[in-house]
Amino acid sequence: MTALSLPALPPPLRTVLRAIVLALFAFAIFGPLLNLLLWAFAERWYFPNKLPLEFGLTFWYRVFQPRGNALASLGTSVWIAVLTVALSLAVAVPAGYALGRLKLPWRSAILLLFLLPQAVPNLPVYVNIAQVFYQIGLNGTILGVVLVHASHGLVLAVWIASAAFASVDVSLEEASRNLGASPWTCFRTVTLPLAAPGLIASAIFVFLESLDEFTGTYFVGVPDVTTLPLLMFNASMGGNYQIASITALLLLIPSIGFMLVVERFLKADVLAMVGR
Amino acid sequence: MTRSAQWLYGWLLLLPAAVLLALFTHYPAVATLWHSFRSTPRGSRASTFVGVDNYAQLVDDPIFWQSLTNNLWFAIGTIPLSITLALLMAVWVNGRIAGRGFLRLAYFTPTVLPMIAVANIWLFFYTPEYGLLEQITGAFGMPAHNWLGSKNSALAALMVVTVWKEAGFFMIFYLAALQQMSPQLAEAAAIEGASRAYFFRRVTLPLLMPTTLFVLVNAVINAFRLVDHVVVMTRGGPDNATELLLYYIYEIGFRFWDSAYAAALTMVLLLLLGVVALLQFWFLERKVHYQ
Repeated sequence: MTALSLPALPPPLRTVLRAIVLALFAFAIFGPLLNLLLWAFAERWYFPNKLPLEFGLTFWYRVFQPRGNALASLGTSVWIAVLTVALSLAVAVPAGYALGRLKLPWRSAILLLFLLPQAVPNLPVYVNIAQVFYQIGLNGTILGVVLVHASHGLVLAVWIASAAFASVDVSLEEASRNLGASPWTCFRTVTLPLAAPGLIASAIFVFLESLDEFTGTYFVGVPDVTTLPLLMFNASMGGNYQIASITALLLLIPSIGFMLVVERFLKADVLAMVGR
Repeated sequence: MTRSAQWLYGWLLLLPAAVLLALFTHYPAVATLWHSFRSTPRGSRASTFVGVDNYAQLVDDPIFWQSLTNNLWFAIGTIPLSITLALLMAVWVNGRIAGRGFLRLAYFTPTVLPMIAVANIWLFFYTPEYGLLEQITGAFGMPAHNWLGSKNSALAALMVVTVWKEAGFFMIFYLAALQQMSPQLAEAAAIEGASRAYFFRRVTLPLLMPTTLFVLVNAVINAFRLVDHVVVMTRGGPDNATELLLYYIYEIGFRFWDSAYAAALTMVLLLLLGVVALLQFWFLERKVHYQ
C-alpha cells in the first residue's frame, strides 16, 4: 500500500525515482539538523568559509562548566515541567473521566469550552496573565510559570485523557462491579490501568510542551526564571550561535527520548478517538 | 448511581480543571474584549471608554491589512501542503517497506522539536553565503540568494519551516486512523478488482475524513497562532513581508505599548478564527462519515 509505487513506469526507473524521492525527503528532514550539528562543534566559522575553520569542544565546556547557566536552566526547565505534569494530570484525569465516561448534560458544550483555549492565540492571553501576575507578585516565579504551562497543557491532557477513558470497554467495569467491587476499587484496578497508556502519553505531551514552551515563559518568567528555550533565544539573539546550537541539541534529547516512549504508549485506538 | 448523582459527580470532577482554565485562559480572553473598547492608559491619563475607536483605527492601518494578507497567504501556502504531505507519509509508512521504523522516527523528529529550536535550526540553514542551503544550491550552479532577507522569498521560507514542523504531527493522527482501518476492506476491494488508486479515493479517503477534519482545524488554527519562528527568524521584515497578524499584535502591544489597539487586533484575529472554524464545521460536517 504505497502511494509512491508508480505502476506505469518500468521497475528500474521506478527504483531510481523512489530513491530520489527518499533522498529529497531525507535531505529536507535532516539537512537543517546537520547544519545545527556543524554549528555546535564549530570553534570558528565565518564567511566566506564553507565549513567551520576549526572543530572543537570549547563551547561545550563553556556550557557545562559548573558556573555556566545552561545546567541551571536545564534544572529549572525540568523542575517546571515535572510540576506542570503533576498539576495538569491532577485536574485532567478527573475531568477526562467525567467527559469520557459520564453522561453529562451539555457534554459537547463543556467539551467545546475545554477545547476553546486551543483555538485562542496564546500571546494576548499571556499578556493579560502577565499583568495580573505582576499585581499579585507571581511574575518571575516558578509557580507563575507552572500555572501558565499547566493551563496550556491541561487542554491537551483533558483531550487525551477523555479519549483514553472513552476507549476503555465499559463491560469490563460492569463485570468488576457485578463481582462486588466498590466504584473506587473498580476505577483503581480496572479503569485506571486500562486507561494508563493514554494517560502516560498525555503526561509526556504535557512534559514536552512545558519543556519547549517559550512565549508564556518569556512573558511571565523573565527575568528571574530562565528555562532552556529562553537561554537559547538569548544566545541566538546575541549572535552566540554555538551556545544556541548546543542548547538546541540539549532540548532535542528529551524530545527524541520521549518520542520513542510515546510510540509505545500511545496506542492507535486512543489517538483515533481524539477529536471525536 | 442515579442520574442526578452522576451529574453532581461529573460537575465536581470537572470543577478543578474548569477553574484553572477559566482563570488563566477564558478570563484573560474576555478581558481582551473589554480592553478593546477602552483607550490605552498612559502615565497620568487613565483608561477611558472609547467605543469602537480602536477598530476604526484598524481600518486605516496599512500594516494591519498587509499582515492580514500575509497571514492568508501563509495559511494557503502551509495548510494544504502539510496535510497532503502528512497523508502521503502516513500511507507510505503504514505499508510494509524496509526501514519503516527509521522513517517514522525521521518524520517525528521535526514535530517533537520546540518551535523556537526549529526556528534557530532553519536560521542557520538559510544563512546567506555559508548556510548549508546556500552551499548546496551553489554547488548546483544556482545564484546566491538571501532567503530570509529578500522580500519575495521570506514568507515562503517561513512556510517551508512550518510545513517541515507540522507535517509529522499530522501524520501521527493519520497513521493512527490508518491502523484502525480493517484490512478486510482492502481485501474486498481487491477481490472486486478495484485499483489501488480507486480504493484510496473511494474508501480510504472518506474513512479518514474525521481525522482530516481534526487535522484541518488544527492546521488552520496553527497558521494564525504560531509566532515563534517570526520572532527568531525575521521579526516581520524585510519591509513587513513576513508580518503575520499575531506578530503584529505582539509589536503593537510590546514594542509600542498600545495595549488597547493590540486588544482590538486580537479580537479581529479571534473573530477570524471563529468564522473559519464555523465554516469548516458547516462545510465538512456533511462530508464526514463517522464509521
